[in-house]
Amino acid sequence: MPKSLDELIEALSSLPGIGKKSAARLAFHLLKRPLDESIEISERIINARRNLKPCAVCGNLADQERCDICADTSRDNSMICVVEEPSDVSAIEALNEYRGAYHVLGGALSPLDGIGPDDLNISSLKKRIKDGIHEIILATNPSTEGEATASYLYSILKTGQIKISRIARGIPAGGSLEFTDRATLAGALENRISFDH
Amino acid sequence: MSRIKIEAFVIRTTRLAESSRVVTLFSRQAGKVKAVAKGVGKPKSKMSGTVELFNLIECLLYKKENADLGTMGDAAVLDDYHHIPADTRKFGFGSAWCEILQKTSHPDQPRPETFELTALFFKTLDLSEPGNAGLLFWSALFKMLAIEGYAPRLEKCLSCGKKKKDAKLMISLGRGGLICAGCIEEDEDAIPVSQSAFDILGAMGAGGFEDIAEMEVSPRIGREAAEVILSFASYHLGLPRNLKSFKFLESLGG
Repeated sequence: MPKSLDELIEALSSLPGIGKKSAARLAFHLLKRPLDESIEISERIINARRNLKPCAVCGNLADQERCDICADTSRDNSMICVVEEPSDVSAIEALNEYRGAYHVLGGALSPLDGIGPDDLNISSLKKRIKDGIHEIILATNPSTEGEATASYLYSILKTGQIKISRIARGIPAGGSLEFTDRATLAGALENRISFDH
Repeated sequence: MSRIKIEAFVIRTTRLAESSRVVTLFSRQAGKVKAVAKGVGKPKSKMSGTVELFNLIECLLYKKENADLGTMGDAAVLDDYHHIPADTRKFGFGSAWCEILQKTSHPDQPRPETFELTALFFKTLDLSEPGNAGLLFWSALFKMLAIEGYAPRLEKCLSCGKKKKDAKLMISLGRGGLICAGCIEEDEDAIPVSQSAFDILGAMGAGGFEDIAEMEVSPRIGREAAEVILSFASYHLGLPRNLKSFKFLESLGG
């Protein structure tokens, strides 16, 4: 195999979820397409890497000092939804249901990985809650680490004046009670809602 | 390809691709086991929510002969300890226990007594007051040392056989317990301990978790007793002193 093709496959297989076979398939696909297309893809990767940085306010990815959401004056900045990663912001934004602000922690507490409170974007969240915030929604993942992070944030942010809520945990649409794990099922029953809500 | 049903604690998970996890289990039947939980991150997966840290699960383990990594199937939660992550110190000490199990366990070497100890420790930690998490953790490590035959022996001087009555108490790592003032010059591995810390160590060795959860110990005395237990675990079990979970707990202060 030519050295440059070998190197391309090697580079593509370093991406998450891409094994050697998939990397080879992608490499041959790129080679079949016009050269301009490959140049455009590589330029977009370089541009994204060079231009994207954490938003100075919320820690989401941004081209400018502030991300598009923080710069949008029509949003309700009295409500902050705290998430682990920028990809979580995209997931919630795709719903078109939430019009508040965000705060991206950059991960979750994980003693086994040596990630403590000082390694997350928490100090800037503490500064933000001084400015007329009335609700903080803790939307970390419903994993052990995500629950621990939400509990830690609650312990340091509770003031009595700000409502602090946790996203609900329940049975996924199209799921089955039979195969739902204990914690989810118990949470779904405990946080059940009135039929005519 | 072998297939066995195991009962195990989830002691580590790492992401593999988008929705799968590599799960490290501490099992009753096969000691430390590493297995892939395919698609477990998908909300509709039958195993969704099972492979969370601290969970006691039952699952099928498929493994090729001499393979390091097996595959998990049909997992179900037998017990979860959901109050542990609700308190940051409990979460830190629970994680430290998982890290110790990872460092001191091996594949195909079951440790049934340590498995039972883990079940009891997680259960007590789950229900205990947050302030007692450290005391329970060090007590659990003391009990693990006892299971392995390395608990500090505190009844009498291991050198001359006299009962302790010195103001100056020393515990020797190499000899495995109390050394009196008259015999100490011969020992280089000895740790000085106060009478209060010595009494706490005795209570940890003799008492159950419920008694220990009721004890009131000052932070200074607690740290002194912890230092003896960690030194023993490091000396006899080869446990590294710089666990990531300890760094996490230090970052919380207090």
